[in-house]
Amino acid sequence: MSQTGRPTNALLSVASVVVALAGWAAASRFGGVSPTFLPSPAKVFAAFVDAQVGGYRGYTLMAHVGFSLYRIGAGFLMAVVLGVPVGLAMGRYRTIHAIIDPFVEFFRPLPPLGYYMLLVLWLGIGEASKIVLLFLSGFPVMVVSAAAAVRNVRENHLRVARSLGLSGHQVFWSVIIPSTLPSLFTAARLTIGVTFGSLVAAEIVAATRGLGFVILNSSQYLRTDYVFMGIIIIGVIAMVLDRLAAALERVIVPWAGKA
Amino acid sequence: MPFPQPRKVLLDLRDVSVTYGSGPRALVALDRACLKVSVGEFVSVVGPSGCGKSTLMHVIAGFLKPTSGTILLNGVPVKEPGADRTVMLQEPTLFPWLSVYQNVELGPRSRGVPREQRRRTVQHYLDLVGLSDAQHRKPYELSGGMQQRASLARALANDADMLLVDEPFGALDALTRERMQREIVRIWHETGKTILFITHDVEEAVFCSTSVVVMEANPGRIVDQVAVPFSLRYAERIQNSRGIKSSPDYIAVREQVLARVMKDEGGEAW
Repeated sequence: MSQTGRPTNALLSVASVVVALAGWAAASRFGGVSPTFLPSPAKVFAAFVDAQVGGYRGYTLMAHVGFSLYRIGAGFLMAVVLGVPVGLAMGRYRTIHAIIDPFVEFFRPLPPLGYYMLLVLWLGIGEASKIVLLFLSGFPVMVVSAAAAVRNVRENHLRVARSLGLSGHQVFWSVIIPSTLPSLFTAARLTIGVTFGSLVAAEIVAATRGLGFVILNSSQYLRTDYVFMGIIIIGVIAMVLDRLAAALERVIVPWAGKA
Repeated sequence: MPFPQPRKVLLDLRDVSVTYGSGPRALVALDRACLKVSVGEFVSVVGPSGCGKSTLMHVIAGFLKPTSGTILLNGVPVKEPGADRTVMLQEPTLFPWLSVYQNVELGPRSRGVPREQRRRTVQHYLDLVGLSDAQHRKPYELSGGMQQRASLARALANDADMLLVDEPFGALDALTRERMQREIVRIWHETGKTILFITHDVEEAVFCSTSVVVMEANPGRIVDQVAVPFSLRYAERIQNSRGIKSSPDYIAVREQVLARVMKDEGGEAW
């Protein structure tokens, strides 16, 4: 791709979003669709302003965003802090892999809503059950990716390191960790996506605040403009975070994808 | 560094065999290999693919345990990989998260060599391979030839008793390859290192070494070892590689080795 290809593609992305928005505006205005089914962009924008200025169910929009980000951040951090060492250990030691793998593989495909009731029973209706739900949705992704990353460390890198005289400990910190970092970054980005995907589920039971709550609560009153608003915010935040992670990746692991 | 008197044996392989699997389907990758390499020698190992030359290197390096037999280095049995035998491999194995300098520094650093001494060592070997100007670059910013120079510097800086080099120039273009052959002879001469050099290229083996070990396949075994008399003419080898390669001395040894290799191929591989 040429150097000039990049700005052109960015422009193309902006243009396609603008066209989609225009299509949405036209459909809601001239399409004869009821505003309940498809609120106009203007109405959704008004929902943003109302929710921020007047608040929604006692909290401003920014406060709702903040509560959700707090839960996602806590769940994501737990998934990374616990998932990376567990995954690395699984990738490095076959016995540990044999012991933990059945549970990880069992948990990975489970829909969070399926076991959410149990979490509420065990952990109460407060923040703990919500954060643990988000953690559990991201944890298996992190573990499986970290384990795969260790197994993908190049055999010849390990050989050269051993023949240079590095101890097992030194091989781990000087070769295995830097080798797996690019994959761990990708895994963290996937995990962010998964935890955002579980946000609405996490805020179903006994939530009085948060973006998921805003969407669920406004759904019950058929306030589609608020539902649209909530969805757009979740989508945009997840996208921005992913871009930030990608930018961070280029700074921290510039060797990703290089021999 | 010629050999005026007999030298101390550095590496001693006694009936080393490697068998994969067992029973009637067992594959004998290496069959009772015996080999002695003395201090300061440059020994090449040639043979068709599947002859076990890489297996030979892996057991000496300690990456692979022999099924039977013993490997002695300085009289001590080899059990696992160690800094007394440093490998250099065909595919580039520089660590991409480290600069060239840091790659070369890794071995001495892991052994706790003081910073200042480390700097001198690294600088010395980077100068020797001609990479001083590229020391702050990352491996993926270098050409294939430069990457192999850096790998060589890394192996040398580790101050091993022996370098185990596996097809180091196999992936390089012909011109770079020719230059690297001269370079490794020069570096061997200047450092006095003992080198075991695995290659499938008979011309390369004869040009670089003090002796050439010939292996054959099915089962993989050592069938001959040919001395290279003109290997003592360092200056000529380094300065006039084409001249050496067209000299009768060189051609005689090359034909001797080729005849051995091709006989063992049994015409089958052609």
